[in-house]
Amino acid sequence: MALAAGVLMLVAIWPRLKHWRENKVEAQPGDWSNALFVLGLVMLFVLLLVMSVQ
Amino acid sequence: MASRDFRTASVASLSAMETNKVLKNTYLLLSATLGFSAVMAVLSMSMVDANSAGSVYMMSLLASIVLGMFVLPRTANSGAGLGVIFLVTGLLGFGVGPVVGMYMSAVNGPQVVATALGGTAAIFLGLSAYAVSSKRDFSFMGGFAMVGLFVVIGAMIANIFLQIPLLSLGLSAGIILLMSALILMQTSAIVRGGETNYIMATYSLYLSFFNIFISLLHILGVAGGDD
Repeated sequence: MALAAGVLMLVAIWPRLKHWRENKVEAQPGDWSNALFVLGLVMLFVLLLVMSVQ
Repeated sequence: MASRDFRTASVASLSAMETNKVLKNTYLLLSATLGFSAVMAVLSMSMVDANSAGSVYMMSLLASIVLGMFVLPRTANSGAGLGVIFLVTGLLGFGVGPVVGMYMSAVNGPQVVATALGGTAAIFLGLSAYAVSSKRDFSFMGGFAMVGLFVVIGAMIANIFLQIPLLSLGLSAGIILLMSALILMQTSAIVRGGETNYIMATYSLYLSFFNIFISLLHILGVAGGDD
């Protein structure tokens, strides 16, 4: 049930992603490393939260 | 020459004012819709029992997705759009209420729910602050997000049949990453003037917030001793 709900929620995002895919710009040097660094920080924060509830 | 510079500066400042207005309206509407969802969630917690929590969640989700995909884009440029966005977010709040109630009733439940909510707010505020202050254009991640979405949906459908708990946790982490990328893209689109409709921007940010909360709740629920 939870997984089916998850799939439905992701389907809801689809039109927004399609819009960005059609209007995207090319990445400049350093853009990807910055974005990956920020997303890595998010994952580290999630790990911190997991450790806090254990 | 001076007159042309003045005109260029005026156009630039008008554009910046417009962008600030969209950003301000988006965050105001997002706060209001999140508050309304919380009220609806508390209401549904007291109305819906644990046995029917799953079906109420699915029905609310389906109704809100249909409204969000087909009605909201048609009404987003009128006042009716405000009513529709509150309806969509209210339905999502009503649906998620009993699910949160189930987590709350577990051992360590209130701590897990509070941590998931606080963590979601921290991730959202952190990413928004970064996107606003850096003023970078994150739309280059559109392709990455779309491929990520396909992979996650495919793996989720596979896991409905495979039922692998570890894959389920990995998918929740993947959704958090995907939604984080979406927050960066949406906020940078507002800041750079690519998004001018604050109702659609709110819907997009609300869905990201909602998905991060649900995924974090799942991960922390497992880590906190309740699956």
